[in-house]
Amino acid sequence: MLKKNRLFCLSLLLMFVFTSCWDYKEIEDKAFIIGIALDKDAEEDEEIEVTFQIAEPNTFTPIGESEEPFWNISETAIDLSKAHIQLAKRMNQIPSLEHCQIILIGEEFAKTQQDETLDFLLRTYNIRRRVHIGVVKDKAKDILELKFKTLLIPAFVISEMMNENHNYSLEVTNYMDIGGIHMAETNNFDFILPKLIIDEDKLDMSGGGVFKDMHLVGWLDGEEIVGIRFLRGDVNSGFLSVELSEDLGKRAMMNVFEAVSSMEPEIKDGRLLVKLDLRIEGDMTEIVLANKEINETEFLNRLEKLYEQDVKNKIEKSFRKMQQEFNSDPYQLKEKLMSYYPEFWKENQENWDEVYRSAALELDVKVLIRRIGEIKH
Amino acid sequence: MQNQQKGLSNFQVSALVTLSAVGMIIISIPRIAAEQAGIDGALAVFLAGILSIILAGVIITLSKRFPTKTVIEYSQEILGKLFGKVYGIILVLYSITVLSYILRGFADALKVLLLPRTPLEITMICMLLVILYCVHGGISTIVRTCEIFLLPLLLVIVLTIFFNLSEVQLFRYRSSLSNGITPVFKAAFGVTTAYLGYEILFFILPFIQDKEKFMIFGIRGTVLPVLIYSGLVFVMIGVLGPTTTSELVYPAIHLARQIGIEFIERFDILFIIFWILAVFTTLTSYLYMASFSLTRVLGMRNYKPFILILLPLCYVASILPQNISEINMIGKIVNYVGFFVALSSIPLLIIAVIRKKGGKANAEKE
Repeated sequence: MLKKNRLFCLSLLLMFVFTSCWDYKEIEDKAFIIGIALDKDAEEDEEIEVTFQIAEPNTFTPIGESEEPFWNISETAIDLSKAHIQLAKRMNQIPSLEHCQIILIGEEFAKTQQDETLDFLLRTYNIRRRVHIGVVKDKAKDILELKFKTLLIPAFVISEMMNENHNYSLEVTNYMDIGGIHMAETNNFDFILPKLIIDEDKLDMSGGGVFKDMHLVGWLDGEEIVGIRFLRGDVNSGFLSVELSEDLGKRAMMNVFEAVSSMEPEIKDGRLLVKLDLRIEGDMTEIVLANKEINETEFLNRLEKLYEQDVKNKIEKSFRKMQQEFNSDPYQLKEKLMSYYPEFWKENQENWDEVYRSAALELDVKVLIRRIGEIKH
Repeated sequence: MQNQQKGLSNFQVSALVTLSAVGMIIISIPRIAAEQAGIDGALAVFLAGILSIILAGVIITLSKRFPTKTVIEYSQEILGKLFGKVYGIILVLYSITVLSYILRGFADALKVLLLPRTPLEITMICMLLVILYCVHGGISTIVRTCEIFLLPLLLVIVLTIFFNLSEVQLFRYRSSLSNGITPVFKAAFGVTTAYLGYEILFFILPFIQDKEKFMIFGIRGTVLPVLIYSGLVFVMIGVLGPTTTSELVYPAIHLARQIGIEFIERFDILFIIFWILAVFTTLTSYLYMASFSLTRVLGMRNYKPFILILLPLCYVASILPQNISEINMIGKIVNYVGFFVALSSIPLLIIAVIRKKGGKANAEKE
C-alpha cells in the first residue's frame, strides 16, 4: 500500500515536470490572415505586391461597430513567402495562414509569375489545400478593399460566394483550389479560375480566366462559361433561359436540378473525336407570354427541343473558342486520352496541341422538363 | 504470469497481427505505390498483400510444429545451436533497425504535420517511454492495447476511404496494366514493407489459448491490412492520379484533409491521432520481438531488464540519420531485409521437415 502511495506522489510530481507545450501559442499573439491578394508590382519588374487581409477578432462582436473588423497590409517582395516573412517587421503578432480563405491573383501576375508562388503554398502544412483561388481582372488588391453589407469582411464574402454560388448561377464557376492547381501542375493540364471584376463599386464574379501551362491566356464571359461547365460535367443545379419561337411565346426560364454528363474521347481515322452525352433535368420557373392554344404535350416537346438546340449551340461555341483561340483544355481531355488510348497517346504526345486543335465534337444533348410550376403553361 | 497462463484469445491474435502491420507507413504507402507502379499501384499493393498472407501462412505452419516454443528456440533446434543463435541475433538487429526507422519516420512526420516547434528528441523519448511501459506489462498487455485500438483505427481509415470514394475518377483505371503485368510484380516487391510486422507470428504461439485455430485467426489478422492498404491506394490514385500522388510526401493525410464534413472541419487531425495509435502498437510489438529474442538467445527467461538495455540503443539508432533522404534509404533497406526475414520461414520449414524436427509425431516422442 505504501508503495502505491509513493508511486502516486511521484506521478503527481511528474505532472508538473512534463506540463509544457512547445507549440502552444496564445491566440492573442496570432494574426489570422484570411485573404491574400497577389499583384505584379507597378515599379519593379521582378517584384510582386502581396496584400494580406488580417482579421481583428476584437471587433467581431457587434458592439464595436466603429472599427473595421479587418485591416489590409501590403508588402512588396520577390515572392509570397518573402512577403509573409516581411510581415514580422510590421507588427507584434505572428502571422498565421491556418484560416486563410481565399487567394486572389491579379491579371498581370497571373500572366507571368503565377507558378512561382505555388511551391510555398503546397509545402507549408499550415495552409489548407481547399483554399479557393480567383483571378481578378485588373488589380487583385482592390477586391479586398470592397465594402459589403452582408458580411463585413471581403475575404469571407468572396469565399462564401465561391463555395455556394455555382449552385445557383451557371455563369459562376469554381472547381479549383490549391490542391487542384497542384494536380494541374504535376499532370500538366489546363484549367479555368473564376473571374472577379469590380464594376462600379460592385463585385461581379461571372465568367472565368483561362489558363494554359499555368499562365493566364484569356478571358471567358458568363455565357461561355455555361458551355464549359456542361462540357466539364460540373453542373449540379442552376438556371437556364431560352428565347422561344414566335408561335410558342417570348422566353422561358428553367430551374435545372440535375445535369449528368459524360465526356469520352474517341479516335476516328487518326483524328480525335470528343463525344459528350448530356442529360439535363429541370422544372420551368417562367414562360413569358406562352401560347396556351397548343396542347401541353406538344408544347413541352417543342420546348425541350428548343432547349436542346440552345445548349448545343452554347457548348459548341465555348468548345471552339477554347480550342481555336486559347488551345487550352480544361476538361481533362488529355488525361482521358492517356487512359483510353495509351498507344495513341504515346505516338502523338509531342503534337498534342495539333491533335486538340483538329478535334471534332459530337454532342448528344437530352433535356427533360419534369414540371411546370403552379400555373398551366 | 497469471494472465499468460490464460493465454491470448482468438480475436486478440488477429488484432495483434493487424496492428503490428498497420503502422507508420500508412500515411505514405500511396506515394510508395504510385512511385513504384504508377496507375497499377493498388494492384501492386494487393499482390504484395497476397504474398504477405502466404508468408504468414508459412510462418504459422512452421510455428505449429513447435507449439510450445518461439522462433528463437526452434530455430536452434532446426539449424543447430550455432546457426540458430546467429539467426536469433539477426532477428534482434532487424527488429531494432525497424523500430528505429519507424520511430524516426514517425517523429519526422509528426514534426511536419502537427508539432513544428517541439524538438524531435522529445517526441521520440516520450514515445519510447510509453512503449517501454506497455512492453513491460508483457504480451498480454500489448495484445489488450491492440484489441482496444483496432476498431477506432479501422473506423477512421474506412471513413477516409468511404468519403473520398465519390471523387474517384474511374476513367483513370482504364489504362491499368497498359505496360503488362511484369512491372506490377516487380513493384509488388517494393511495397512489401507496408505489411512488415506479421513476423510477430513467429513469437506468439506459446501464449495462445486455442492453438488449433491459430491458422485461421493469424491469417485473418493479415487480411485486414491488405484490404486497408489496397483500398487506400485505390482511392488515392483514383482521386489525384498517380503523378500527383507520387509527389506528396504524406498522401494519406492529404486524403483525410479533403474530407469536409459539416461538423468536423479538420478530419486530418482525427486521422493523425489514430495513426499515432497505430504507430504505437507497431513499435510495441517490435520492441517486444527485439527484447524477447535477445533474452532467449542469451538463454535467459525474463526479458524485462533487456528492454531497458535496448531502448537507448534504439534511440541512438533513430537519431543517427541526418535528413529525409537518408531515412528513405534506410526504409528501402528495411523493406528488403524484412522481406527476407519473412521469407526465411520457407527454408526453415523445409529443413524442419527434412530433419524431422517438430510436428505432432515428434512432439509425442519428446
